[in-house]
Amino acid sequence: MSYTEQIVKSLQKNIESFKKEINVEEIGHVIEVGDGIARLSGLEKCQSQEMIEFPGGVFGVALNLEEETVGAIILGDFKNIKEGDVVKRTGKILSIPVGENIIGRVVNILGEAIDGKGDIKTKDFYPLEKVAKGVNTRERVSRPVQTGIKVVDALIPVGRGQRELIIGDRQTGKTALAIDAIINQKGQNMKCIYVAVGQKESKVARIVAKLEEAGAMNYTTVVVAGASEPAPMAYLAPYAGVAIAEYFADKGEDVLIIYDDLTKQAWAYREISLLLRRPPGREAYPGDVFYLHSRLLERACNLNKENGGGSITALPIIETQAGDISAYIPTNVISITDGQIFLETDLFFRGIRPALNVGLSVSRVGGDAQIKPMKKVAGSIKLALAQYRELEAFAQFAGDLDEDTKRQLARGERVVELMKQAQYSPMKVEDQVAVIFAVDHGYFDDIEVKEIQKIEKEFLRFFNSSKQDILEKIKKGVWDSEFENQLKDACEEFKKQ
Amino acid sequence: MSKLLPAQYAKILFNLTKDAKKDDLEDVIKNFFSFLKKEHVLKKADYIIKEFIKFSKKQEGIQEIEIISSAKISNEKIKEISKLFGEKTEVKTEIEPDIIGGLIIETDDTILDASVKTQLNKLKQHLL
Repeated sequence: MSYTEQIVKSLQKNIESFKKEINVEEIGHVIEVGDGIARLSGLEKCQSQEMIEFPGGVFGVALNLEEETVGAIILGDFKNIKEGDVVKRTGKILSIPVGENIIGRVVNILGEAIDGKGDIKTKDFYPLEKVAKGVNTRERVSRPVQTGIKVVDALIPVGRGQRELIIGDRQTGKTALAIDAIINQKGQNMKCIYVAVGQKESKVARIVAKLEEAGAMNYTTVVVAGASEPAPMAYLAPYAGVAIAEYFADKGEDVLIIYDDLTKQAWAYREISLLLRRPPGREAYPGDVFYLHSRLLERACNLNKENGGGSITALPIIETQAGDISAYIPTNVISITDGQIFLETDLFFRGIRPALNVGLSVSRVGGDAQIKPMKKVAGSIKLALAQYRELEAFAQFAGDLDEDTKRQLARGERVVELMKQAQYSPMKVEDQVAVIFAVDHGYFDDIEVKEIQKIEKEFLRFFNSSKQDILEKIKKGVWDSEFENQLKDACEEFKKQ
Repeated sequence: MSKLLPAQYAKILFNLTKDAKKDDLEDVIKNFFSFLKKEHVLKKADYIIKEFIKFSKKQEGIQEIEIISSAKISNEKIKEISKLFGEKTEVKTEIEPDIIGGLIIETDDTILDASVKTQLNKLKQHLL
């Protein structure tokens, strides 16, 4: 059989299998259109969260089902929609196409590629809104997420399946921290999703370029609802992100998802709610703004073996105004998450970067997920830092200090200096343990504070070249008194050089 | 409180006039319009009347359908179709050559699409 005949045959077969049937569609009419929302009549059997088709291929989602009308948000250009237009039900709940191919791509909330690299071919659909996994499918957080940032991994550890809030004023390095965490996931068996909500397109472009440069786009998906897009997009973007995350988690993979940031999502939701005439509450947010974030963050999970053992770790970001963490949205999200990383402008300008306030930051569940060596060394520097903070203020006024206090101050200064870390330079966990061990046992006490970072580099070079076996052991989680002595000997050896 | 929709005003008007005697009718309507004036919705009167006609037809069991075809169809055919929708059916027809062939029937809240154009579109999707 020739090639042409084959084609004709298969075409014929295809056409024969096509069933003729009459299209029955339920319709409604547009009563009014506002910024990104529409009020519709008819559509009597419309479900909540159902997709609605407007003329011109624009889709909407039904949010308010009222006695006479349906309130819908419009996903796309609403300028050409006018009063009296016919709208159709689709019978589909809003969902996003997902698949392996979505990795390394930049998509909008409908899963369409916006990076100019062609269509994404996928088979599965995941709904944007889904009830979070139940108690019987979950397990306690026990495996670490290595962010590669010393101060976070040592003091505020994050476990797989945890929800850790990153909170701070503008320009304090919130996004930088999150991007560093993504970059460090290379080879850690982790899929990453970065959700940009209401961000400048230029910032998103910069982040994507940085991730590509660091080779992080091989395991990362970026979901974008830009600042120029209408509010419904920003409102739905985090749900689109978590739907993709759930696809991978259901396959037993570990996922890290970053929502940057939820403040803008709450603004977008407030805008939609006011336009849909829902009653405003505190700060004009609607009554269910808590549920907006809780149902999203509750979808982070650490699944047990029977359910594939996947996990979704969420790092939501909240931007505060003038350090006010007691505003409405920050307090809400703090109460939902398993801890927060608090970044401060003051520290940032004092040159302490990441500008992390150790006193106000906590991780409620991550401690169990730390590897043993890190847990051992982190405990005592936490104490050293706490003592340092207490003495610091006091020492400014006192002239004479006893030896003990001086020693504590000196140690504290060195720990603070060591915790500084440049952007885009994540550090391996074994390296972190080694340097923290050294400073904790006073090996850096006789070194000028200014020199600390230089010495740190030399120290790591020394360990990585001649003490590979020790680093290997740390990575495996070995820690006993014998090993501690071995580590001490190695530090002595370094000092002699 | 937000204003009512034209359809809701129409419902009120229908309920008011339903049981009114012929002599009272004028008063009832006068009252209704002064109510509309008080509510500042007189400018929507046109819509309300339109909705009222629609609503009262629905109450009486009259159904409006619109038949869209590519060419003129005979009166017998129209009668045959309208009978399928019940005894009391009001039919509007429209000719739209765009649909190539077949019929589209629109009722108040559904579209029955049996046009050749839609079938072809479906076939296209099926083959791709």
